[in-house]
Amino acid sequence: MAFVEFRDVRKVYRMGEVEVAAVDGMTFDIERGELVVVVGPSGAGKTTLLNMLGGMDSCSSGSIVLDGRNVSAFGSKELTFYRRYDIGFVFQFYNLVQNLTALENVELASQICKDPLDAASVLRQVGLGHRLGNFPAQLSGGEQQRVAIARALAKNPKLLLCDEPTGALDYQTGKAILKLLQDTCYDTGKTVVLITHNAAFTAIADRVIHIREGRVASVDVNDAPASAETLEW
Amino acid sequence: MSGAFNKELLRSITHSLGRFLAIAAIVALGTGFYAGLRMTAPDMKTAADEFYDGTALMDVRVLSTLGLTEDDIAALRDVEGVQAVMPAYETDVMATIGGEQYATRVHSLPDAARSSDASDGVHARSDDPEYLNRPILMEGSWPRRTGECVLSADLVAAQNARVGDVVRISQEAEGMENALVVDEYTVVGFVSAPYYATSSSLGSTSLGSGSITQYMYVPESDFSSDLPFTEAFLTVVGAADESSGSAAYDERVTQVTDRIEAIAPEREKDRAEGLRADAQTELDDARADYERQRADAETQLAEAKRQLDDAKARLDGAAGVIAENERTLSEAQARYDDGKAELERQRASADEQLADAAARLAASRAELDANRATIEALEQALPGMQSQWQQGSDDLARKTAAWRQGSDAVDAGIAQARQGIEQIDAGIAEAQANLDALPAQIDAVQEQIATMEALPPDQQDPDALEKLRQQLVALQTAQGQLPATIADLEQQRSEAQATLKDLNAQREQLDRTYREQIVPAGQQLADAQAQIEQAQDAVARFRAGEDQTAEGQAQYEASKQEADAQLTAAQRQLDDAAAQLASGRERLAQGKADYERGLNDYESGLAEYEAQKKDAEERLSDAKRQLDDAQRQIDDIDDAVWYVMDRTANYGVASFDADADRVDSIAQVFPFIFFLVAALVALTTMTRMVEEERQLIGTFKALGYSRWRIASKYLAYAAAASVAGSIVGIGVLSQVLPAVIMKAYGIIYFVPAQPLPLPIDWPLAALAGGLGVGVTLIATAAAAAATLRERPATLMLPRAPKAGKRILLERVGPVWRRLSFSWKVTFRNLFRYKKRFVMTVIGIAGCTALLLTGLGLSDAINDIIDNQFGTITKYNAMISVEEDIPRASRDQLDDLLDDSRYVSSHMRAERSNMLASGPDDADVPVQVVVPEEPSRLDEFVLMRTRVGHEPLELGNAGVVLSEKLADQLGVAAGEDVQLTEQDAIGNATGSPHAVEATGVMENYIYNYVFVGPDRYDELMGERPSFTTILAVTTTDSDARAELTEKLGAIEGVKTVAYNDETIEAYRDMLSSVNMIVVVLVVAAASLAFIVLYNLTNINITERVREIATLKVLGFTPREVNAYIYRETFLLAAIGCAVGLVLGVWMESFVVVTAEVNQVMFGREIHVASFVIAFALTMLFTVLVMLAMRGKLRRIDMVESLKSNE
Repeated sequence: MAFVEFRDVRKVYRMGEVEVAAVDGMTFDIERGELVVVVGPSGAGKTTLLNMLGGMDSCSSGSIVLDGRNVSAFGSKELTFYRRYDIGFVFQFYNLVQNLTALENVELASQICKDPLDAASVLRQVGLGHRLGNFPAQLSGGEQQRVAIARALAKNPKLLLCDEPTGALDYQTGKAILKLLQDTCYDTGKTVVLITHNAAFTAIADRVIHIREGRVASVDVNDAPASAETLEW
Repeated sequence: MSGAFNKELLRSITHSLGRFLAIAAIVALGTGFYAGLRMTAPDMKTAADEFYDGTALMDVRVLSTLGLTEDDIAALRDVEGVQAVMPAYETDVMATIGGEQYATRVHSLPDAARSSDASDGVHARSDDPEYLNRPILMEGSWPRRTGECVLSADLVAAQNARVGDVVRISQEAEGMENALVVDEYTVVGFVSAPYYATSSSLGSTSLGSGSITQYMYVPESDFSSDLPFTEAFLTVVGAADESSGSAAYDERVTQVTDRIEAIAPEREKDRAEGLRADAQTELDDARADYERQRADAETQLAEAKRQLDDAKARLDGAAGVIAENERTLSEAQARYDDGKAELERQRASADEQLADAAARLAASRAELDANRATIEALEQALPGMQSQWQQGSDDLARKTAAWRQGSDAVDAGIAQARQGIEQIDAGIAEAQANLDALPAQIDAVQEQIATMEALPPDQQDPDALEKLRQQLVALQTAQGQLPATIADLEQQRSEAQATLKDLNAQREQLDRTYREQIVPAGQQLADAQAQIEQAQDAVARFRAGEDQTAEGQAQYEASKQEADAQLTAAQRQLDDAAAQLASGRERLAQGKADYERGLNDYESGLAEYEAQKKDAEERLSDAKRQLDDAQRQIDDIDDAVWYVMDRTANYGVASFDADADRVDSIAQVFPFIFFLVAALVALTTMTRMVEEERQLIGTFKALGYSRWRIASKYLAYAAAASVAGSIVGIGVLSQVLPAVIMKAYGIIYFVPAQPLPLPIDWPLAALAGGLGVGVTLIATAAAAAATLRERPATLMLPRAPKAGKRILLERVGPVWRRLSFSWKVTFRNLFRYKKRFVMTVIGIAGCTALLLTGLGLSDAINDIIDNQFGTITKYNAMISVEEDIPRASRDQLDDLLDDSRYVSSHMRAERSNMLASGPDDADVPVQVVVPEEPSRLDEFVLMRTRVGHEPLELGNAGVVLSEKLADQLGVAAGEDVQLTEQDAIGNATGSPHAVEATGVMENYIYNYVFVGPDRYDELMGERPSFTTILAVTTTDSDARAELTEKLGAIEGVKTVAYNDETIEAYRDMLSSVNMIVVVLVVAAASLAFIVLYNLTNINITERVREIATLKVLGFTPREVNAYIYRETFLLAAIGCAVGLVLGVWMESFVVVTAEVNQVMFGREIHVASFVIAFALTMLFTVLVMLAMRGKLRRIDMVESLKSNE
């Protein structure tokens, strides 16, 4: 049994009288410890997939299983705890709490978890040992994203979900972030799911899931992923 | 303006209705409150004016101390500007209605009342323009005949009275006795009188507890016809056209009052002169009468006196005569007694003499008889003896002659011899002398010789010398011869002496012969002679004795006869005298008895005279004094004093006006907070809106819209919201608030409320709306300005999130480290959004302050009664008695008061109404209370300071003021207060007495001055009369009813008043505040909801991403709520804290502003009120949070994935 199993997952939005299926029957598996890149153009259902995998939204039909638990059957309360204990989320726009320092932002997440990692060491791990006390506004975009990654990691989640983590960053910084994620995946054995519209990122993935118009177009397993440092786009 | 732009504007309203409503609501609240409160006062005044005009309430009241005559009324009618004049009577009485006594003011009701129509409850229409102060008949009918009355329909005092009840008048005001011709009335109806617009004070009186508690109208004819009008009510031309109390009204009325005051002095003088003249005429008559009576009395007395004096003189004469008679009688008696004694003596003496004489006669006869024989013998012997004697006598004569011859011869020889001797002696002596002288002569001659011889020879006289020498020789010869001569002489002398010796011897012989012979013979002869004579004598004596005895016998007989005759005559005289004495004595006794009777008569007559005289004098002096008093009274009739009073002197009118002004002064302050909050709400809301539409603004700018055009969207949005709010707020609250407040005031004021809809004061509404809209627009402009200045390019970029900042609290490491992140975030957020902070704190503070004000006001007002009657005033009944209550009644009263079934404690006190003045205010009516035993005062009144509750001691010399009074006068303990006595209508009489206040006591209702009895004495110059009894009576209503009945039965007990009535009246009056409290609570809640809603709304919309992120991070809804609401809650708490402080200040402002005369509101807000205000605010907060929870829940986590806008 795969670590993550998507089985014929659909997500239908009702817009007045019209039903729009953002995700229209997706099926795929992800194995533990993999760096997975979900790639597709805008409107392909990437975000909806992410929402459902991250426990932010439930699917209309089909089943989602993570580590043997049927997430698709969770109620909102269970979903909350699922997000809380199982998922680490990295946003495109970092979503740091402006009024908390880097360290506090990390602790914000770790304080609610059962088995958190030490916030400061996680921050040092992401290379921000020297900016623990800074507020987000005092950090660069890359640094903010690192804080966000640290925040996600500190929760010690089963799955790290990253939504266009480099979307708001420049090329070099983006690469560094990708490197960080790749390293994290390799060093900590965490399953990392990275959602992007940038097909260039597929090179670093263990597994690439191509989606198009709400469906999985293809799933490629990359036996020899490239290092993020070598990546160019 | 392009259509699309307008559409966008419209849509932005519909799409953010919450925001729009927040602005509209706060503006509605602000403008509505402002307009509503500000319009309340005018509405109240309009209602009052309508009522006053509708009931023809007087504009001016003229009161004269000596009453008003028809002339006075006519003079008033002639004053320019006077429209109508209604002369009227009024008097104060104690009236018993349903067993309770009320100090009642009785007014005359003109006949016109009967035909007046007051069916609408506001207007009393009458055809008689001179019928003023028209009461409105609420129930029953008008009094039609004497003995019928109408009472107040509004007062608590009348609540038990029904039509048909009897009103018994038990006592009338001093100087107004018998003003009413009947003393029992039947209630025929109940009225609401414009003259008594309030129940809080109907006026003061000298009766009962000092306050009027009921009023009644009786037919004018029920007032005694010889009474002058007590007052006149006037209306002023054109005054009804102006709003009562407005400047224009005042101007019109003042013009007229000035004119009345101008004619007043003349009328005042006339009235007094008229009265004086009348009284003087009457007095002069009385005086003449008095003089006549006095003269009569004096004449009568003088006559009586004269008669008495005559009687006295007669009696004195009689007394003299009696005394004289007595003396004469006693003299006569004495004489009689003397005579009687004399007679006895004479009789005794005569008897004795006669007996003596008889004895002597007997003795003489016996002696004669004894001697007769001897005498007869002797007579026979006598001739012999005589012849014998003759013989012896002749013999002796011869012998004697012989002897004499011899003797003579011898004696001649002796004499011769003695002569010779003497001659010889003389010769011897001569010779001797010559011999002795010779030597000296010899010497002298010798000397002469010597001298001559010594002389010169020529000078010597030889003859002389010779002669001298011869002389010397002669002398010397003589010297030799003389001794012989002497011896010769001595020889002769011895011879002569021898002769003499012989002669002497012969002599002696002769003498012996004489002695031995002649002398004895003579002796014998003499003896014989004597014997003869003796015998002759005895015989003669015997014969004489015989004769004498015979004569004695004859005399004795004669004497005896005479004495008998004399004694008999004397005895007869004595007997006559005795008879006379007896009859004299009898007459005297008779005279004396007559005299005694006369004297008694005289004395009783005199006593009667004295008594009558004294009586007459007393009566006369009484009469005189009365006359003098009357004269003094007449002289003392001061000119009448006219009091020309406008409506401000009417307590109801004035206090209604003042209360309206109070509402207005509160209205000017309160809405400020709403406006401030409105501005803040607008500012934060619009700031948020502008922020939200940042990119849109950029787009508009990019599209080429001018800055003004873009700004106009927001201004238009704000304007739309605020105008809508203003219209709704003003529209609703300008009706609701005045209505509610007037309804509240309606409990103490009987001014009928205006019918809805209330008029809207457009300028005020415009001002309120303008303020609301203006404030909003300014805030909006301020919010938009910064953003609008930015360049489109910048605007297209999401605005850099506001940087996080460290706050001060972080420096307190130990605290900070212990805080969870959500708390940290909360604290940082609090200080991050300052506008919101200020808005929320002020809004919530305003809410709490309003609540606290409302609750505090309620406390303050309930405390009045709770503190006054629960704590301070311990007595619950006041009994007033006559000053000259009869002894028996007093005992009866004491017994009753000592009965513990009814009364647990009581004390006498003096209570009088006076006026007090101090530096800040003058002539404030006060009640002066003088306890008889100040040491026991604490059983009846708790005297303490309000702050600190320090007990105050009155003592005998203390003066303690009630707090409100002290504040009003500006007098503190240790400073002087002036007390002035006052007359029945509350005007100062006499000069003020300055006295030092020794303390200021906590007191809430009425102004009291407690004075120690000694100090009162010192101040007023008289002991207090203690005619009031303070008593703590049973609260059991049956026992109390019994007590009242028993007290009423005691003569001299004037009134009994329980303060339960007062408590009830005040409770009613004060319950009006509850409405205000409700208004305040509603306002506070609205404020809290609007502010909190707005805050939460902004917080949520602004932090959607953050919230979504938290949700994504796995925060439970509860944690998310807590994360957001903690901030709100904290802000609310801070606001509350500030609000409590603000509320204390606001409450004290409202309390002080709303405080009515003579009442001090409680000055302490109860702890419970603080707690409730706090809790209510927090409750509002929680309610808002609960309401907003859904919004929070609905935030989609997907939002977290969106980019920053």
